[in-house]
Amino acid sequence: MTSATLKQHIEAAAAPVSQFWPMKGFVSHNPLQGLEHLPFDEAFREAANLFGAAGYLPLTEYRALHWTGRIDAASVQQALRRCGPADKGCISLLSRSLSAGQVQHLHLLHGIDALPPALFDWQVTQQKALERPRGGASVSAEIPALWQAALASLGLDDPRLGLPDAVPSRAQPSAEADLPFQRCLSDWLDETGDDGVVSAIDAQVIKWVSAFVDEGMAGWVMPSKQAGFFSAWRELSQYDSSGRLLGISAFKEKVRALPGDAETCIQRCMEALQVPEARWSDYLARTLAQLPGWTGLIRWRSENPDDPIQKHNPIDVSQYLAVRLFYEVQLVELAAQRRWGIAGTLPAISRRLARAESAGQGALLAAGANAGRVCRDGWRLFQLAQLLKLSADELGSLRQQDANTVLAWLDAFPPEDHQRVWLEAYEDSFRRRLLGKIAEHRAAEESRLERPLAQAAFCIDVRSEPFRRHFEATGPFETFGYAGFFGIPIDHRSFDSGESFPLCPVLLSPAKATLEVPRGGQDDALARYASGSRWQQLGEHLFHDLKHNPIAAFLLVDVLGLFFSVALIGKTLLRRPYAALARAARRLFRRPVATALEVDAGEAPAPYVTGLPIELSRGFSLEQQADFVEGGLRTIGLVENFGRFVVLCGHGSSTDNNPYAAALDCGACGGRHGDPNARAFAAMANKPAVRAELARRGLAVPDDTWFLPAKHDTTADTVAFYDLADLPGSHQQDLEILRRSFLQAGQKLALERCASLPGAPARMSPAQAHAHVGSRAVDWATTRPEWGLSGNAAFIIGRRAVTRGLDIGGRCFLHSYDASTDPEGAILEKIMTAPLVVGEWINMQYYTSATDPWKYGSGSKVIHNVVGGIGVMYGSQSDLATGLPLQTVNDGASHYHEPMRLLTIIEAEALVVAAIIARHAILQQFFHKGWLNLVVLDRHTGAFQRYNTDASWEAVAL
Amino acid sequence: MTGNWTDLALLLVPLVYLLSAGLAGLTGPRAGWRLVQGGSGLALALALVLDFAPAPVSGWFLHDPLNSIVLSLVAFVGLVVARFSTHYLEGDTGQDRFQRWLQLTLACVAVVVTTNHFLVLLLAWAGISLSMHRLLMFYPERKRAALAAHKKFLFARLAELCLAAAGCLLYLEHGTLYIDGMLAGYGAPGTTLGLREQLAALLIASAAMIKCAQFPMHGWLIQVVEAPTPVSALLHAGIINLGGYLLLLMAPLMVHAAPAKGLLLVVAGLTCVIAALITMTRVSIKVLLAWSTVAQMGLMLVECALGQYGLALLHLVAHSCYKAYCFLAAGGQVEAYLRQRLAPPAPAPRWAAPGFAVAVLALFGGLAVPGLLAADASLWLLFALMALVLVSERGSVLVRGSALRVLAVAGALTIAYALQKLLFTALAPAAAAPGLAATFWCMALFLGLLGAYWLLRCRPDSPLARRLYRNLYAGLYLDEWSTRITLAIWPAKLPLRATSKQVLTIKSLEATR
Repeated sequence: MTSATLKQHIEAAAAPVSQFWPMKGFVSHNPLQGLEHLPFDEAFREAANLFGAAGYLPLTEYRALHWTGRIDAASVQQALRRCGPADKGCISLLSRSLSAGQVQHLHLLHGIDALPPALFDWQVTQQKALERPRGGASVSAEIPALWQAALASLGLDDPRLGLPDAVPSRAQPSAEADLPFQRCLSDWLDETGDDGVVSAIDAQVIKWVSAFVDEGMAGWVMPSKQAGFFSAWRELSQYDSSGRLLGISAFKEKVRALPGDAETCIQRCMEALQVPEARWSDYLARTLAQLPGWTGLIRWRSENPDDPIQKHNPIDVSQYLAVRLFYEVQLVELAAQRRWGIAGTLPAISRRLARAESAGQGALLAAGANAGRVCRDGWRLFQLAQLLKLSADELGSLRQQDANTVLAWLDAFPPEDHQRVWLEAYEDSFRRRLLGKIAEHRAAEESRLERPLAQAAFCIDVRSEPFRRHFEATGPFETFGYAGFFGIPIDHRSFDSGESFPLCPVLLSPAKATLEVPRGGQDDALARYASGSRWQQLGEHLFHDLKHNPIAAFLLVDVLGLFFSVALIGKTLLRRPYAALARAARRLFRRPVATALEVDAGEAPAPYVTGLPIELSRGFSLEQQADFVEGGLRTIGLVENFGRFVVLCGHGSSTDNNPYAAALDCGACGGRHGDPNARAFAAMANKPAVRAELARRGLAVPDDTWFLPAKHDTTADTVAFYDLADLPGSHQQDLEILRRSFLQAGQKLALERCASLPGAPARMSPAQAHAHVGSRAVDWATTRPEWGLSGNAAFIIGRRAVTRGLDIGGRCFLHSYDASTDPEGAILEKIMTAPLVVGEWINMQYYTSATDPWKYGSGSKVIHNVVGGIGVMYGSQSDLATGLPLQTVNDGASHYHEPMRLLTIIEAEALVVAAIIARHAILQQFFHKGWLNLVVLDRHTGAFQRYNTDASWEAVAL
Repeated sequence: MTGNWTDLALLLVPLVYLLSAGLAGLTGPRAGWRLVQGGSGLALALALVLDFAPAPVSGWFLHDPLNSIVLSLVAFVGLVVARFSTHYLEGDTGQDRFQRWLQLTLACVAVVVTTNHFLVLLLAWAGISLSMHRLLMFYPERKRAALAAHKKFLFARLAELCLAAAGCLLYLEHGTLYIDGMLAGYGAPGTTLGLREQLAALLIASAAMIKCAQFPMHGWLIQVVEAPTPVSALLHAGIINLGGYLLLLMAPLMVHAAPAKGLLLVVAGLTCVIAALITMTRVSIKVLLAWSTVAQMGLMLVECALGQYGLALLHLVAHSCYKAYCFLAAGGQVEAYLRQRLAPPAPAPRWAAPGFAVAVLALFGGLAVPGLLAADASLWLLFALMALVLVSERGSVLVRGSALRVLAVAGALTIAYALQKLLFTALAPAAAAPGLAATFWCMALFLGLLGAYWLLRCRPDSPLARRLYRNLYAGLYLDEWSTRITLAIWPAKLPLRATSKQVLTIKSLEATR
């Protein structure tokens, strides 16, 4: 195989594993991104095979949701029609008729499955299944007769009579068992025996990879990292006695004999395993899928060659594969030798397993032909008859041919097809409720305010919806939804920080840098700050170093250990006073310095820059600034009737002791706080030159309109304003009104949120609730400081009038859009190709974390162990946990996040929307492969139309 | 049986824990936590009051400053862990289990650190281990957790065996199972011990070392980080150091037992140095903390062996607070790391090597003047060492004006240390001067540590440093061997991997139900 084809194989094999962003900037994404080209259901089946992860809730849970009324009966019927089996047909039974739809409906609701023969006796003797009705407590005379009738109609004998039963002919032993699709030899050995080959390989690989990718946890760094992972591993592992301990002979010589190049090594290993070339792709795919977290991190590293760490310590998928396959070859060989004394190659193991399989088949099929059919067909018919409430006479009248037809209907709808029907029904129930609310609300639409005191733009984040609702209720305010980076992608560096961060969705990369600089005329404050921060840095860094220093660690514990009791008392017993005290102490050291955000293009060397150099050019030209402001205002439809304030409200969260802090911050700002973007937008929009330019472009902003940057703390529900030093005196009084309104809105929102936050006391006043959420923000013990974007289910693109005043439960992304100002759909196109895409990522991240919290999600926070500063493992060693923790999506026993695909509601012409979809491959993928649902709302008639995966439209009946 | 209110209070502490353990399971998680917190709070209050209580009269309890301090410490850690877990485990199934076993563990610890009866001590000690086992297996389906807990289970039984044997020997010697009775005769200096007593001391030292996870029985402590975070905090802050408590309790006997002290010095001394170096190579926070505990426990045992009981007690208490905090705050590591990334330690300054040379000379100087190290003059040495380490680590911060700061920080730390040391020396069993051989051995260990540190800071790329890294990163393979031996002696029953056939069976069972 040429090296180019091998590279292609490796690339294809790595594609299904999604990249894992290091934890410091958690980025929500679809873990199935590499499979998004497939239809939704197919992609999840593929992933279930590859990763062993569940893409749907278990059937029992969907059924429970139906019985509790969360999934309506009407939705179930509707979903069954849409994505159930296509069987039509009808048979008649004495006085009634029985249709395929009816049978399959019951099958969906109750699961009419065959009984494993081994359980037959247990059902009969323990469960008394042939004496009392299904799920019933008391014995019923009718049931035994029904059982006999079911057997009779199929021409079967009752196994309890002990009549001689024909033993089925044994399947012919196949000459060779074949390695299952997407399985490695190590998997195969583990599935057929108990050698723990995979876990032994995992342990070795994790050991080396974690040491290599560590970004500063270890005080003693792995040597030779500069040479790259494969070389470093080769150099160190040849002296590693673990090989010998595992039983690998001549380990050192084997490692030494490896080629110096990772790809050649992969080739050698695959040849050693004797895997035919046609199967390399799927073999490698499974090899990479065995630790998807670590592989994902390595993929991220190889896709980001400019990351400073990757630059110095390169690692990529090939290097990882080479190491992993080396262990695979050695340990498979070892296990095969130990178990059977044969070589660890695919042909040898296949031959051996084929023999074992044919020997085992007899045992599996030990149940006789009659007993087997009784358990499969008789049992199902018996169950169905009970569910249909048939009498024994009615069942008795069933002809054998009809009985087989009925069973064929059941066969046509196997349980693995039920989940997607349930999901559709689940979504349909939600859709009906939401659209019903919106339709009802339409009647009560208000007219626009005369001149609002303030307009406020919030992030599209689902947490903004309730906050906007409460804020609007406090006064003459209008609100808008816009991506939280306010359309300005920047690489931002805060005052006195040594590192810049890109503040924009990961879809984009910022072209320009911005800088937070101290305002003029405060030399004293700066001097005080510098001295204080020097002390603080000294303290912090010293403490860190001492902890990791073998000598100093002993001294440190003796000298400072007792003082930690103060922190223990403070943080657990006196949470809020301690937090206030700590804040005050910090302020004492670091006196606050008033700062401003520099947005103008500047060539002069930046003042006060420390740490890494700023690589992008700084600031924007006047033209660009006007573009940003105009673009933003036009996108959200704010082009006239400006209030005295336009508040730009970014958001961020404040939590303590939370490795997942970034997941609660602004996704549109790359998992960080959004205040710098708000400040940048306001700084531009308040500039007279920009206003003049806007006016020239036909967007007149009144002189007494002030753009005010702010940030909503989503954990504590507080709002902080920025750059108040620039605020004109004329606006001071209005600012107080604004402040009070935000306070009130925050309190009401806190009360609303407390209803669903576990551990929040019942019956509180809004002020008490506000205090409670404030204390959660500083609680180091809580695993659920807030719910984040949990619960997200819809993305509404349209005027605020569609939802204003409507309580939609904090489950919707709201993007402002006014179709009347956008006849061509140019603005809509931008919304659908950027914010909506991010919405899909977030939605799928939550969806998958809810359906399989341990594989797609990152399990329980309770056993998390931060590794290398980049991620978390479960316990002492495991795969890197990706996705969201259980506590983010789950409320104890129940799902807080209801896993369903994002329902996109667009207030626009269906034709315009369809034209946009036709232009973009990614949107076709989303809407035609079923990753998103779409409904358009006609502004004039209020009618909803649903977009189908075949690009057709269908009216939604409410 | 007669007693005064001190006896009653001492009896009440474990009873309060037991009562809340019994009631917690019955009421649902929320009320259960209130009960647990209330019980732990009450126990802590009692323990604090007991610090100032008159001596008990019944003879069932010990009431020295040692017991009071350790009891207060454990009650404090217990309350913190209970409060923390209330929020931390919110929504977890099995909170009632957690509450019950947490309180039971604490009840047993409270008995261990107050009882005067050897048999009670032994039983309660076993009780700690058994109830802790349930906490470590909080997620019983986790295979690695099961393996670690299995190892811990075996080592704990071994330690109890040692302790029981020691108890028998001491009973044969003194004819009493009351601890104060056993130890009464050892007050005089220059007492010589008989064979039985020497053997008992050796067994006690072994039990303490097993309990404190010293080489080669350390593996379980590293691997039990599979358990929920608060369990780790409790284990590392309130349970693991009971080995140290045992040695402090038996100090009057141990002082005279040269073989036992020698054993402690060798095993704990080596553990201390090697584990400290291994700690440096770890890349995940909880594992790093666990290795650090192994090293710190080693130091505590060495201090006991050297007769520095005040230091050992100070170390025991300080380490508990420190480690409890570190474990509970382990989730903040991503953020902490972000801050650190901006200021990596500078390469070692040029004068680091001469600096180390001076330190070594100073140490030998200390040796040359006998008794200097035990005296408070050692504080000056400590001061110099502290300043040296600070400066060598923080070359990057050591810009104009910071040199004085570093000295000031080192000075403040030294003073803080001196004061604490003074306090604890007054409270702990009387110190005994270490012998010359012991001092030399400790010096050698210290030099080894210093040498390795020098290698790391100044010659990180030398072949020697690489070889050292490799072996340290592998934990010297000690645990692999000990696991292998353990499993050979007593195979573990691990949670079975469900096969597809079993899953099918279970699913259909559920469906038909």
